[in-house]
Amino acid sequence: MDLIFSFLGQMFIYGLVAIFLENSLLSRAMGSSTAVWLMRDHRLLLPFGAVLTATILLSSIAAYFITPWVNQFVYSYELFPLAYSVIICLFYLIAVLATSKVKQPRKKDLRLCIHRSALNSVVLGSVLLSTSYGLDLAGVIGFGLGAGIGYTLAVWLLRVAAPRLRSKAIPKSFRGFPAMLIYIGVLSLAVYGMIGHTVAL
Amino acid sequence: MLKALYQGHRKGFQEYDNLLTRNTVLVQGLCIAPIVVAATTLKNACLLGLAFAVITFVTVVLLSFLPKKTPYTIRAIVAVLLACGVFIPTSLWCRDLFPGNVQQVGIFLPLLVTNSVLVGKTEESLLHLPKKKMLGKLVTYILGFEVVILLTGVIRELLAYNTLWGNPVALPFTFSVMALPFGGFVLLGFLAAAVRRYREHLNKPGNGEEE
Repeated sequence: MDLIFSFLGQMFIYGLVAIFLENSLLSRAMGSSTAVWLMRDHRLLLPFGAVLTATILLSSIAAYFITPWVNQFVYSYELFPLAYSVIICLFYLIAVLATSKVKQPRKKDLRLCIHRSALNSVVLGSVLLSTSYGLDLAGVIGFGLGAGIGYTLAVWLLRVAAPRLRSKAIPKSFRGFPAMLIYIGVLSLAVYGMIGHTVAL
Repeated sequence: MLKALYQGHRKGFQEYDNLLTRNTVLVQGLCIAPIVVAATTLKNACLLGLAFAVITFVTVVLLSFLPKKTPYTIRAIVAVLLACGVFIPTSLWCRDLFPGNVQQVGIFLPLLVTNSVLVGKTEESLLHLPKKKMLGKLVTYILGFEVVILLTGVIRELLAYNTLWGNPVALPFTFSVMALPFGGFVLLGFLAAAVRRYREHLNKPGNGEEE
């Protein structure tokens, strides 16, 4: 029983770390162009987030098992992207095949989410991060879940602010994309603050 | 003069100018992550710019030899796996050229294999073009990225570390916050606004000589 609680506890902690402290979008800017796309078509945010989280989770678990094997090679740094991309592409292919019997119009949306999420830098980036930190299985699962959820939450935060960022109150040159970049910057500074900077006295 | 040229060839600019009026990063919002997080010095920017150019160019050229009837899913998979193959010699080359900087850019060097020009734009606006046009457009996409990453690298290194290519530059202030992702996002935001302002100027009637 203790083992299960310890496993779940660790998973939870790494999940929180990935959502708040190591947020894919706000701390590492991964998937920024996809975030811009999601802001244009926000009805896809939830299905996209679900597909993204599942892809990161499954790829991270598989990567956890093959990392020791890849580490044996002298040029492991160069080989990691290839090894992890093979895994991600495999899940991508399975996901596309699995949706072949889904009826339209849901199929079109689901396929779009799969195409945009699987070969996204958030997936490969999260897998590379979780393995480079040398996390155990609980950590890998928690971090994988947290990375997907954290990215979805960050895009949701952008979506909420989107009408204001496009409003006429903002100078014309800054309206929309430039204002969004500055807004993400401010949010990323807030996340950076959460890492814990003590006051001088 | 540029204004007159732009107004005379507006369609061509809209199609091929990924350098300024439709910049890869500042207007189309592609490949933002390496610029925001890892391009904190000119050396890092050069390393990422070089790797991006090699990986993207070689992969797209190789990808253009795939039969046009290949399903999208297979093409996307082949694109990423080809990029991973190109990444291996590119990374080894970069290690020789920029010793120590490969560690500094961390995961952002391997992440170039899934960059959004390669995964998104290639399919959307490159592969259906005739080879010559495709190569021309691809080069402009790459140049658009290079200009922004180098400019960002110079500005951030100067402001955050008061150095350029590692050599000290005497400045009366230091904005160490520019080395954080915050600095990268804000700088890109201002550059994007400047490009938009300039595009508005180009779109205004008149040949610009009177201004």
